Amino acid sequence: MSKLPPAQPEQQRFEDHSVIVPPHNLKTAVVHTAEPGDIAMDVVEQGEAALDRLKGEFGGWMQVECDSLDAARKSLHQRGRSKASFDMLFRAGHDIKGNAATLGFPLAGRLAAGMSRLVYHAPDKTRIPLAVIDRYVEAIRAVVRENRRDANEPTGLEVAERLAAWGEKFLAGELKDAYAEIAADAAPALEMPAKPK
Amino acid sequence: MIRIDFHRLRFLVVDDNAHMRRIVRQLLHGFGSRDIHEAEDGAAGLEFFTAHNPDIVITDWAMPVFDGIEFTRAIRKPESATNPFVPIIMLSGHSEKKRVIEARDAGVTEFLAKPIAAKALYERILSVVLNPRPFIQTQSYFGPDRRRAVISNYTGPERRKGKDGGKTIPVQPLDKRFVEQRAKPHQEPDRRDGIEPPAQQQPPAPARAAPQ
Repeated sequence: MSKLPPAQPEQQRFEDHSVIVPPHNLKTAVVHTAEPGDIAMDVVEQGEAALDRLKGEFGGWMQVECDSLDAARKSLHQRGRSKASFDMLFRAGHDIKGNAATLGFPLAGRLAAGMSRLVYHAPDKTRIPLAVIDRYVEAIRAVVRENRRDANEPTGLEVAERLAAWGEKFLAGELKDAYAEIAADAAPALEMPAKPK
Repeated sequence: MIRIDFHRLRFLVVDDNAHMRRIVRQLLHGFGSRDIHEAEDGAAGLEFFTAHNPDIVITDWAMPVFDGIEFTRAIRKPESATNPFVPIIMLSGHSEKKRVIEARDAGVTEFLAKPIAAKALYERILSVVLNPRPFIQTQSYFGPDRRRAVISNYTGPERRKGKDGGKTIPVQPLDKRFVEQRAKPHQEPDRRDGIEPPAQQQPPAPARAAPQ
């Protein structure tokens, strides 16, 4: 398909903008069938099945992600609170935020989302207590080490909620009026399951 | 139903995380694609893009050195010799509204928040293949039309000045079949041979003007 000679786009000019209709090169990949329905669910299912075939590797991949996070945390302790160290920590946390649910560890993803948000939005990152970063990293590692794959695992959820609540309070204090701009993006607080008496 | 012949599409997947690249590759492979290429950052992605002209780009946002936004802006150069209209699907862990708007304003075609799901990825690919949007070029923007629909009761400022002095300028997508078919399913005849539909199903193309 990409070997087709380039067609010229059609263009309409207006006072302060142009509307350009690019050639529809991808239409040769479109196949019309008489099958009912909008979405070819069999294709989606084939994609899901292909992903399922990788599932045996997901635990190991998650461990690798945790090792990267731990290395970033150690760098923060050993090399000081530099921008490079925080960038490394943010990227490792952000990767876990994005990948963990797909790899079967949604709770680790929730924890990583809280940590990434804290690191990203703190105006002066050197004011983030390293003890909080340590708690986040340890909680994520514990979820993976103990193979907690349930998104609603009570202990993990409570840790995630408490850390997130602390993080929001910290960000509100640091950002002051500007906190209003990010407040709506905070993860919604969950109703904590009652502790057994 | 409309299907996509994934064998005909060349994909470029740009992500610094090897696991996510493998996941996306596996999903595309499951959909039927065999022409899938990977790059681990925006710079390597741009190099591949320039040399091999992929049909669809799937890129992460947060990458060291040259991130997904910079990568998108580098592609969306109207004077580019390589295809500046290529569909770009941004697959990102950033899901905040502000981030989505920033990606849109950089020229991203579709945004997909992680965690990735097969159906969501398939739908984004379906959208860019079947329903490409016109491109808008202004002094500060070059990319797909950011107006996905005409809102009749819109009360905000009109940023585009057209020949009607600032009224909304209706922009007809090139191919409305996907939208029409969603409204009226089961109307399409069997055309497994991939031959394009009759001309009367195509919306009228806008008058050609002198290219810039």
